[in-house]
Amino acid sequence: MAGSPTEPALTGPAAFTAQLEAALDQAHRLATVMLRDRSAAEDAVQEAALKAWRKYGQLRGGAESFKTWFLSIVANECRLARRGRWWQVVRMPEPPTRLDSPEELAAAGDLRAAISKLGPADQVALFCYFYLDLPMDQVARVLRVSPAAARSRVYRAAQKLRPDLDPSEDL
Amino acid sequence: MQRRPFRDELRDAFEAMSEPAHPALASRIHEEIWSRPAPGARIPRLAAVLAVLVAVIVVVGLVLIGRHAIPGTTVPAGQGAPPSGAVTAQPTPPVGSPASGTSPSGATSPAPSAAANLPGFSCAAQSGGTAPAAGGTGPVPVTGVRTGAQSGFDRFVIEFNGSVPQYEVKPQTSARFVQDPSGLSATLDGLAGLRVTVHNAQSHGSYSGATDQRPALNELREARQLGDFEGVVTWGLGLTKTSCFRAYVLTGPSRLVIDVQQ
Repeated sequence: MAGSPTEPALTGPAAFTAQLEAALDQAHRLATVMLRDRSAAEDAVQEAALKAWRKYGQLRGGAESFKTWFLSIVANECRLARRGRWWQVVRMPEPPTRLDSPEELAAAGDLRAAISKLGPADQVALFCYFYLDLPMDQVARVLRVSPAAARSRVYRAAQKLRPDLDPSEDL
Repeated sequence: MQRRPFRDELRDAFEAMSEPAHPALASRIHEEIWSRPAPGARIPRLAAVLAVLVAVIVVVGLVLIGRHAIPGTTVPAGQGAPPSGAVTAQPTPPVGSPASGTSPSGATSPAPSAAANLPGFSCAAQSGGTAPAAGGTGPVPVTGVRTGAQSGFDRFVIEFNGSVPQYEVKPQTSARFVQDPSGLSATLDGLAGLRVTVHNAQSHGSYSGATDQRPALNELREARQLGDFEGVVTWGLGLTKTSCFRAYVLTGPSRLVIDVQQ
């Protein structure tokens, strides 16, 4: 609804909400992948948006850098939320699955279950690279690591899902 | 070879797993953000933190100043006054013990009883107190013994039910003391000591507190009653090192105060 994120002159809340809106959908999708729960994801995104707003003054760069920056905040928020949910896991244990490791799940053809068993950083890496089609240097910015580390993170995470993946493939 | 399908597979899986943001979420976030101060306005929070800091500093400063200015009032009395009809069937004249510095007549102490101008610290033996009245009213009961840290010195207090009798405080270069009736030695915590002897006083029957206190302060490590016999109450103070001190009398309640300089 608000102006396009390419508008460079906007400042303050207007600029922020415009950029946020452009990134919100992807951020929310990332959060639902990481948390597997819609309301938890909304909470995480909202919390991340407020944190981003508080730190907005520190952000340098244009719309692309806002998106990766915001995604990294969301990813961090989701990681915290996952860590904080241990008690829920205790109270409402997930339905027991025979297959626990991502590799086993992937081998069984249950790719979605395998993805949700991955660690948060793996999920972020795969989601950004394969689903959002971000270039590797932006994936690295979301993960807050070097591009080389991001590349190996993406590759290793993919290998967990597909153990026979060829390293020479285009990753 | 299977990159293409795998990539698509992954994309489909993510598509199926993830959900787009509800439009209400965006407006909820907008509302939240517009109701908040701009990110530049972090100063109020900083100001609040500073204000709290300043307040804490002021309070701490006042407390310290208060402690320094009114040294007599910092340690609350441990006990109320016990029944004054304490035992009087004690042999009265204990004055024959070695060295009371003051004349045995009616000399009052050289120590001031006002808290305002305390005597200076000295490293030599000190004495004072009120000589027993002519009629012989019996030993003055000890009602409380306590220690406390003050700024610049550690304090040892003996409280009496009646005016502070004659006392003497002698420094010594070890924390080894001889106990009063038994002659046995007692080694207190510390490397130096003060021996506090109060004549015409008694502790039993009126003082029920600890007779061995280990406050473990900077200077005053331990205070132990060495004797309470025939109207002479003796306490040993174990000190960290040889320190100067001041012994004087305060009233209301009547007490002997010994401050050990830090």
